[in-house]
Amino acid sequence: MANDNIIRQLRGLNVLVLHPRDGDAEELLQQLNRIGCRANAIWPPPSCPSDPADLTFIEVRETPDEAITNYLKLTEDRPTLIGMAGYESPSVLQNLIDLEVDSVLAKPVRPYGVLSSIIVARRNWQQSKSNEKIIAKLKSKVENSHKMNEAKIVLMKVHDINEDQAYRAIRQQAMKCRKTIAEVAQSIIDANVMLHDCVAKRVSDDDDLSEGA
Amino acid sequence: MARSSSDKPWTVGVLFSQTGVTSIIENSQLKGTLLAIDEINQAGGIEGRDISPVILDPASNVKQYRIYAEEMLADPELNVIFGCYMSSSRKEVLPVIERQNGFLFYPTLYEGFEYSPNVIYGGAAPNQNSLPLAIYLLENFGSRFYFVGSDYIYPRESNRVMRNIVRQGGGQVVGENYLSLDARREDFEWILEDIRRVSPDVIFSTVVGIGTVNFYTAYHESGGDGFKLPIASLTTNEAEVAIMGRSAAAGHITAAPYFRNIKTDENARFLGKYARKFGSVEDVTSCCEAAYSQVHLFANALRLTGSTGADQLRAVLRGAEFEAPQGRIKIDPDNNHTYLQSRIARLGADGEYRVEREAVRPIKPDPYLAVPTLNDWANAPIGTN
Repeated sequence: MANDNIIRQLRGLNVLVLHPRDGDAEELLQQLNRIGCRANAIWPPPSCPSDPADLTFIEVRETPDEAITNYLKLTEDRPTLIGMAGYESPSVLQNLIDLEVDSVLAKPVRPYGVLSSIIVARRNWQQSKSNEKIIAKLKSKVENSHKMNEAKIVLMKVHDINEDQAYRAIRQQAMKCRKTIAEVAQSIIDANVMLHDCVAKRVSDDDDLSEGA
Repeated sequence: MARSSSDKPWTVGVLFSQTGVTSIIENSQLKGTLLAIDEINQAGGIEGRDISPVILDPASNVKQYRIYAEEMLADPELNVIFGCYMSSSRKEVLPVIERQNGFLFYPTLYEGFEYSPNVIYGGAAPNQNSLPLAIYLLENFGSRFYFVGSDYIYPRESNRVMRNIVRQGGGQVVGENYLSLDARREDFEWILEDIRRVSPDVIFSTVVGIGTVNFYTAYHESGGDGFKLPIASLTTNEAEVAIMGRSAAAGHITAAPYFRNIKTDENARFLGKYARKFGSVEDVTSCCEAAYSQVHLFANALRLTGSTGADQLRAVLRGAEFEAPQGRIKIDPDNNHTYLQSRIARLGADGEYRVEREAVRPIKPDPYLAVPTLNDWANAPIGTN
């Protein structure tokens, strides 16, 4: 189904071509036009990104192009990237890796293969986008469960209750204050740290006093 | 003709199957090609030189197309080929053509998603035939479609396009089956049984070649009636109807840029010459007309270039127009496909197609239309006959 959407959405793509205006760029633009994408070619790359593109073709040579690298750095949402490479020498290959392209279009550009490289790039890009989302979600889940455990331990120690009671107390507090469980847990941990700090400080103050006596 | 014998002819390749499963339609394409070549030669040729065809018969064998294309292009005098019907045969010939920088005229409807700078596509792309046909069927017959096709790339891709449009129109595909290209009459029996069981509103057939004759005949013999439950197709044509007979053909529907009995001056002239050369116009089809027009487009280009080089031909063919039997056509300079008429016709009890609907002007080809929407048709106003 996701694959179907990639094909379905082809014509709505905003495509940017960052490549010198030569025969390859011309051939690519014509094929993009046949496919029906909205394509725009700019060279040299603009110093600041204007219209955000969904898909960007970039020239990849043996030395990194500063203008392209800067352009990509300034682009907030990373677009789908397709590298246009005329050589398969190790330095070109390294640049393909460093630029984190989603797929490659070999030069000289022929009409065949443009569509496939777009499809593969979009699939990779979507996959990594959705992976990023999943990772972020899992991260916050793990963090929250850490917090919850810590907060429960604090309550168990302070009030001498069991884990289940501690959990319910936190949940009730969250409902009462209209906060998330994670927020309440964080408050408990913070409060505990503060209390602990105060006591620890007083003890050390006492130590100083006794030493002075 | 007053012409010196030293004038070397322009040699071109002609690659249509005269035998095998797709020979009915490819013979009609061959005849369209030869008629146009005759016309050009009788009018004095190009720069005083005749066009001389090298004709080979790949016998509906896909691999043979490639072998023959290689043989043809090995001749340094030969750089242009007219030929191919099935997509699978075009895909075989394409790498040979591109490698040698030859030039192929492909006078057949196909599923789209191709562009080669070395090919001129003379048949309809799905936006020119599938889309209008789907809309016509949804409006006139209902929303439950049953797909039957030959098992190769064109029917599957063509059905993918059709399925998308049918769904958008709120319809559904209630059955989808494929049979091999050489399917006999009895091979369709289980499908016909399934059709009776499912009882769809319309059958959409992408069966090609001799299978078409077998399918329609089997349908008729099993009690099927085209006036009640029609078979709609993009390929079924006059030549196949002539073989299956009027009773098997009656009531069924085809979408194509051209039908034999359309009334244009060019068509009358075309049919007159065809009848004089071949004795009858029984097997004149839209693919035959496309083949005929493509030879004339080539000849007109050759008059300008004086060379059969692919780069020279391409430069003048892009945007070239021709007053074809179907009406004026034009090669789209963006994609080498052709602006074509779009017509939908139904077979009467007399076995003749009657145009029920046609676009008021040629439709721009859109070979990369992945997901056609019903709205796209809005670009091409329709006239109802």
